[in-house]
Amino acid sequence: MEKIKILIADDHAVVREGTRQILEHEPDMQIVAEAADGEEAVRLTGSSRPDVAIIDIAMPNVDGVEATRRIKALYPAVSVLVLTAYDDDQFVFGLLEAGAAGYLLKSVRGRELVDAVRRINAGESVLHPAIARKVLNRFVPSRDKLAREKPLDVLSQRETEVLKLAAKGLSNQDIADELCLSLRTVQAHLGHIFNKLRVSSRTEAVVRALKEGWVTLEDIP
Amino acid sequence: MQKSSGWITGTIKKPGFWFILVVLVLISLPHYSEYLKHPAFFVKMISELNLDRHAAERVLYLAPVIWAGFLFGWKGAFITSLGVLGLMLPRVIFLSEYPTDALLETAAVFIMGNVLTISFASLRREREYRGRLETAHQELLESEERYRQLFENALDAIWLHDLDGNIIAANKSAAGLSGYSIEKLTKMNVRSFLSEESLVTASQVRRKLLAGEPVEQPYEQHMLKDDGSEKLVQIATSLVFDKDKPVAFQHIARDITEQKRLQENLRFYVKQATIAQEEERKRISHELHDDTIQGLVVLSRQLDSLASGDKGISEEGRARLEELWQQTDNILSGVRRLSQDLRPAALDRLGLIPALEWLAANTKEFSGIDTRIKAAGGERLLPEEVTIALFRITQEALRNVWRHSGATEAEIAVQFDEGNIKITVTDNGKGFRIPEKMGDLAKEGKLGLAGMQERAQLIGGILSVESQPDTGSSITVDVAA
Repeated sequence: MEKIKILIADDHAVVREGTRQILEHEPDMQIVAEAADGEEAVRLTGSSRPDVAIIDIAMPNVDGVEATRRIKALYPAVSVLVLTAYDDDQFVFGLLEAGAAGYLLKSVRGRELVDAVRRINAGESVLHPAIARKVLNRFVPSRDKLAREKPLDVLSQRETEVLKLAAKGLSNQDIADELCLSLRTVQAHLGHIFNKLRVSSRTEAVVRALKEGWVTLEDIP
Repeated sequence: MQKSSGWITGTIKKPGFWFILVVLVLISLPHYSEYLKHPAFFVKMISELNLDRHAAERVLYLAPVIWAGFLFGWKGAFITSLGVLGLMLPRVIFLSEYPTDALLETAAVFIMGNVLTISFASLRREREYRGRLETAHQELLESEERYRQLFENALDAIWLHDLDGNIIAANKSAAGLSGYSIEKLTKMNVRSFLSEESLVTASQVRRKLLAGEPVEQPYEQHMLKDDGSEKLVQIATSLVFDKDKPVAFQHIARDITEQKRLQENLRFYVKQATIAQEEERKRISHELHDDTIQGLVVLSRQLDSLASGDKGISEEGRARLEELWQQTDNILSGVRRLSQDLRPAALDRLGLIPALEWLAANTKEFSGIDTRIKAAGGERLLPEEVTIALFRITQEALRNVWRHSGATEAEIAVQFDEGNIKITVTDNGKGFRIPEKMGDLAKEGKLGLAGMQERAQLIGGILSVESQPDTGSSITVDVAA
């Protein structure tokens, strides 16, 4: 089976070690690189091409948020999961803006971390619904953008529908049921959406849609 | 009519009036009666003077006239002289053997009486006048002496100079202040004490005074001592007039060099203490994050691994480990909160507005006060000390709202303008009484407000407070940055 390739970045060696241990325990996961600061994280992402990069927000020499931004710019296919000691809204907004697919508290249980990695890899959302709405309303599309790109310029009709439902928080199966499509079709559509938008996760796609004004908060429950 | 009747009754009341009447009668009796003889000494005196008896009696009439003059002034003398005339004339007309001489004598007495009265009166006036003059002169000398003492011994330096700056007078304190003796000073020009800048200030003050424009007094001025050192003085200047023309300037000055220095030292100390306090908080917060929190994370993970792993631990064991994990997680939350309270991560990582957002959310969570934040103008990057000061002031303001106001709503309004930032914290609580002067805040126990004011001043900003009982309060900090 194709293992999920993971990069871990954290300036505290013990924490890095702990994360490694939790994930290596899983048969479908493989740690391909470890970084101790943001700059190294970006560099090693380039050289080791992980599927998922787990990044600590507070790192010296280019912090987690900036590293996320750079990684998404250079290697958009990589999904970034941010580990943070602070669960404040202010940070979450910044993280989503930078392109993180999701975030977790560092003290999260091993099980949850593993789940999160898998879900992110599958393009699913890892955003805590309680936070989601509060933060997502910060993504107000700029006025000039509203005029510029229409969703149909970028995504097909079908893809837009899928995106809207994904934004509503529906799982892939639910979307399939709703649109009378097969699960595989939905997954394929999502894949296309991610490609076209140059994102690698549901969260990023929703954020992008909000920013562009294709989806408004009324569309999201 | 009133006055004269009052005068008459007043006169009649005086005993002198009656004495004069008695004397008049006493003189008139022998004048008209041959049978009454004068005392012997009197007869001897008039024969030596070669006066005959009636002539002498006429002369005697001068006495009551002059006396009336002393007692009742010239008016009284004149009336008495008329009376005397009236008393003498019958003898002249009806009884005298030599009427012409008698008439002449009578006339002479009448005229002499009045002339003498007038002379005595004016002599007396002169003497009174000179007496008053003497007294006034004496008082003037005394007052001058008192002023001189004041001038000489005043604690403040006082000196006068003419319109060109040449010193006319100076007191001991002025000599002490300048380092020169009083004699030397009176030969100098004030220019010697002033640097370039002080000269400008001095000229401005003088010009304004001469033009009658208002000058803010007292003002501060730098003075050069004889050894070249500079002193800071608090000085008040006024014009000296001579018959409405300005002729000199008078300065009263106090040396505040030491005072200023102490104040500045204190300011500096407060600033350093505040910076040190912030550094300490930052350091502790980072240590908590780096050491304590990470350590707890590792501990928590190990417990988690044990609790959910398959290392052959009993059900009880697992349950226990779960509990321990939960406790650790609670400790982690607590430490995280402590670290944030000391120095919010958002402040260093994200900037002022996100930090204030955190503050608003935090306040709402812990106090139940609905705290909103609104920002206007373009947020821009501010120097660290400004950011932290603004944050702390807002933090303290909200703390006050929480502790004292009983408010249910609060708002943080941030206004970014070109080169200036203003933050206003308003609440709908019960308000408080603001002391007269901002300087009294510490005295009245409102240390929180005093601290806020100090922080504002340290970054060159201004703190203002508005509050009315029962209509809430608003605190504004305004700084150029």
